[in-house]
Amino acid sequence: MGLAYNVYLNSKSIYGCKTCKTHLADHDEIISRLRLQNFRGQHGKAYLFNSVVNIQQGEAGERNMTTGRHVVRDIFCRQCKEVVGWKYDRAYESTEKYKEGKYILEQELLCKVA
Amino acid sequence: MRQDHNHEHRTRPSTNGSSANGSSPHTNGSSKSSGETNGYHTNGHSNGEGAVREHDDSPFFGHDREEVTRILLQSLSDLGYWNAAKQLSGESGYELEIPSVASFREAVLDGRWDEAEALLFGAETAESDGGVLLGNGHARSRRKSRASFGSQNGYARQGLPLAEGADTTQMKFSLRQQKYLEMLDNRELNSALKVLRNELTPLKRDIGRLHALSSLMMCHSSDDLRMQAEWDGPEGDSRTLVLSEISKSISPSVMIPEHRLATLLTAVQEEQILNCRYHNTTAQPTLYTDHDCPAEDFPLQTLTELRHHSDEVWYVEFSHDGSMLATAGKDGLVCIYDTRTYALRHEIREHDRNLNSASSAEGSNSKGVCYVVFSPDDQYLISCAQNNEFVVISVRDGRRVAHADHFDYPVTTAAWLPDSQTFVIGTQGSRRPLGLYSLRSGAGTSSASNVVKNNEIHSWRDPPWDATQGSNPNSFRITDCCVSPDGERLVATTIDNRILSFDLRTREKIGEWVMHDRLTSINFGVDGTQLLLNMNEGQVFTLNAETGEFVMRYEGAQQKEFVIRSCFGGAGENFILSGSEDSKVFIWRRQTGALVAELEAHAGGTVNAVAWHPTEHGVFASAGDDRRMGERISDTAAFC
Repeated sequence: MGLAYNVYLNSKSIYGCKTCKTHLADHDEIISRLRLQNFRGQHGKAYLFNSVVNIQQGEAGERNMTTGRHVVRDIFCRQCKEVVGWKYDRAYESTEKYKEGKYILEQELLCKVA
Repeated sequence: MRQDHNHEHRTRPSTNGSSANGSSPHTNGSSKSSGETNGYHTNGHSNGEGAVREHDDSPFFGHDREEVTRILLQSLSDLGYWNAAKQLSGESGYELEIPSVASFREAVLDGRWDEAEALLFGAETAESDGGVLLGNGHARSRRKSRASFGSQNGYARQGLPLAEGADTTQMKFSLRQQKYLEMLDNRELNSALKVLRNELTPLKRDIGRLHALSSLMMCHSSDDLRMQAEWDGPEGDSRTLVLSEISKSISPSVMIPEHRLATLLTAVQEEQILNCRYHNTTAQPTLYTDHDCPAEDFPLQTLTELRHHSDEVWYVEFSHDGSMLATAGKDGLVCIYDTRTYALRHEIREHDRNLNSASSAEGSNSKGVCYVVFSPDDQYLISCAQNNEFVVISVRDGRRVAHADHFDYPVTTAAWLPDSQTFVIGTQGSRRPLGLYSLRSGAGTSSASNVVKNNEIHSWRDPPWDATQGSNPNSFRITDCCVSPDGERLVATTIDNRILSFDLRTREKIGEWVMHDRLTSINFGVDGTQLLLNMNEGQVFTLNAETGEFVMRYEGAQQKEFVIRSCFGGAGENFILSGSEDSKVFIWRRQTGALVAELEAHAGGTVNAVAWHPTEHGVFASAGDDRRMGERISDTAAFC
């Protein structure tokens, strides 16, 4: 619907979509606690971000993950429509509640944008 | 009777007023008594001796008879009908100017400066040197006038009544300056020096000008003087100019402002034109009727729809001569139509082709052409694409003549310079956000296929690119840009809501204005003085191109998420046209901001861009998400 320009982040270290280099997230937005470094997605290592830009969300669905049951939805790069990660809508375990409303981007699908 | 006269003459000075009092003479009203004090009838203040002409004082359709007649007298004289003017004056009993004003006028035009000054300010002030306090001067002259009432030139002693806020020192300066210049011209250096010392300097006004005037004494000849002072001599227009300038400061009822009738008529016509809703013409309307353009002459009906695109149409533009129309869309296609038949002339798939051959495998969805622009001579067309490149095509044969793909982010906008060889490109990349490119290939580019590649001749970036550094900080990114019609200035909008202004000759930044929301479109008006902008949350407005001051806002269009564009259009650029997210095309009157029409178009999607035909003022085009390109036309124009 119409032409819309992408959002551009202003930071020293930005992650972008591997296919089209669209800015997706700022490195400073990574939520890092010792336990969290080991997110694993379908493609390997992944990071949990507070906020991301230029993404479109898919349908929500329940998934069983290593950490328990969650309601998640896939997120796509708005420019090239490729999957880049997912968003946590709801976590059933109380220890996993901190993930709600946050985004996972898979390292394999990202590139560093200068 | 005598008593009455006495009384009235005595009161007249204070009420007519000097500039210190700041009151304008009570010349209005048609009652007998004020008629007396105006004293403009030929027999007026002759001392009550017989045969005072009877004249009609009845108002002329609600206007003061005297004012109307005197304005008519002035107009007849301006038109050159002297006999008619004289007759009118005789028949009505009114005169255009009282004798003292007429004498003043003649004195100035003949160069009798002392007399002119005496007539203007009153004998008292002329005798004493300049710089006399106004209050004193008039008080003295008032006393004198009591003794001299009843003379034909009743004002002689106290000068002519001045308008409110008249600057007598400035007026004296003008008169005396002219006197000085004429003396210099005549090589009367001693007298000139006297004037400079005794008359101009004591006025204590404009020291800079005084210095300039004294330096004129060094001129060797009168030609030299005239050139240096930019003055055309006593027989030229200079005396008339001095008279014009001073007459502006004389009370308007004594000396009617020049061409008063023409001024009034122009004012009424302009008012009518401003209020005319569909005014799509630059022809001067007739004075015989009130002006109002009919809606039939305005493009409100759809003429034709063009449906070549298979996806959203993002941009539309007419060529400068109006013979072609170019459209660009999300499907990566650029179409050029002939505007007489609306047949498709070229279909250009430049950006599509690139995708297939590129080995870096850009995502097949990241295409779309977001901007096209014709060169001023309509030979070339630049198309800017979302797959990080732009292409310049020759319009005649559709062949590529230049391109550049050294960008890492989409190319969003382009603008030509008047020479049709150089152009500006704006992109969303931080490495090369704004660049100046040329069609002429420089030394370093290969021309195997005569295609000029990556020929950037200048890059604007803030901070400037430092190749020695590993990583450079981010620069501004461009959303739209435009070049002024004279090719002097470049104005661009950035993604962080700023408007940057550059001088194209020096390539320096000359201005920066910060706006408070996202800017999606910027355009220069045809005279280069105004900028039209689209800003988020539905704001369309014009700014002064030099100062960045806000001029006029146009309300109604919706814009929140998408890039909506607007343009100037219509005869005399009387209209502003804009797309909107609610599928409507909006048209406003540029000068007043009044909404002229809100047209439903492209149902179900946003209207992305609009363009008005540059020569046929009854046609404009709009581009929308429903894959259609609509043309609208007025009923009376003929199109096949």
